[in-house]
Amino acid sequence: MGGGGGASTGNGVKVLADATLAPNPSGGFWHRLANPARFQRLAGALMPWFVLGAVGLFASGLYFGLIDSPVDYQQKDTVRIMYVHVPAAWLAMMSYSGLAVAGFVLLVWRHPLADVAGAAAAPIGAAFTFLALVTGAIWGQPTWGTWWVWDARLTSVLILFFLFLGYIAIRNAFDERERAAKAAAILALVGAVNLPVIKFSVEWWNTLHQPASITRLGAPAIHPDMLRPLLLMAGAYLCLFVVLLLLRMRLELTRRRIEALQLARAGAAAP
Amino acid sequence: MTDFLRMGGYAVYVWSSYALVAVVLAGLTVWTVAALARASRTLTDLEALAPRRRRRSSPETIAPETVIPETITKEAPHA
Repeated sequence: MGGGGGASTGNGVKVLADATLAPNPSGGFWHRLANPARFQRLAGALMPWFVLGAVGLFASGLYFGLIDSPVDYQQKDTVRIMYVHVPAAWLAMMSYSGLAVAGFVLLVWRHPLADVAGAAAAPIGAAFTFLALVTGAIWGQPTWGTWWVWDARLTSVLILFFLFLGYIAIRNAFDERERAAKAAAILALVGAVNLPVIKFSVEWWNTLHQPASITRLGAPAIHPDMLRPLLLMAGAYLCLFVVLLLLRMRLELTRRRIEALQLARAGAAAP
Repeated sequence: MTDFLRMGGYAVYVWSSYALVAVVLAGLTVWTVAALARASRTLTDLEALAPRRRRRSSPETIAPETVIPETITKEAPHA
């Protein structure tokens, strides 16, 4: 990718020498971002803002969600669970979309950070999906009288959870990083068909899960006093996602650099 | 205050949801930060051992008794 590049060792692992990966300085934004050192600098500059955003939005979201918002005339106080459940579902779908996009970028453009981003995002997406499923079940018990039902929405979100786990498992199943990255990217893209199923499940099938009240044409069918904590918590989750993504990308890049150095040492020490 | 904690009788549902979210998100954050700290430390150790090939210092700035990797007798702790 770009100039310089790295060497390939015998077992096919590419040694990424970051400073010799000399990208064209007049190249596009994404091309220049392919340099891990430059990416780290950008990530370092962005991080504090998203940390601040997360802290502020969680504080205000929790205040409005738990204290300064009305009860629902039917759900009573269990409506407050919505303020942690719905944003988790949104982030789950957003994370998987990111995974699919990263997979596409990897396969088509071979951007070196695409796989790093995918590896970083998968555990975060899995966590949000898990939270969406469990908080939804906790909400369902007093409201529907059941923890679980195999309706289209719940089933497709459960499948989303398994897709995240599958993505992580596939990445760990291969010894060769490039092969692992490609296989995982293909899984991410194939599984992306689940996203419109999740989104439209409440329209296409008769479901126990209620239809869309916010992300739909026309005004949201939700009271502003309830929309406020919902959007605040969604913003908080989003900021946290970005922080965790950048941290995990740095972690992944650090691990790759460690691997490269250890290989180099092993090569130098070999008789 | 007790009304707030009771959550209209739905306390166990509301509080267990919020607690779970807090535990999972905080746990994920702590795990990530700890792993990153560990990895950064390992990387610093490794980079201290192996002089970076591309950053070639001129010969006169490297003292003759500079240790080169093959002569290091103390093995670095592995990650």
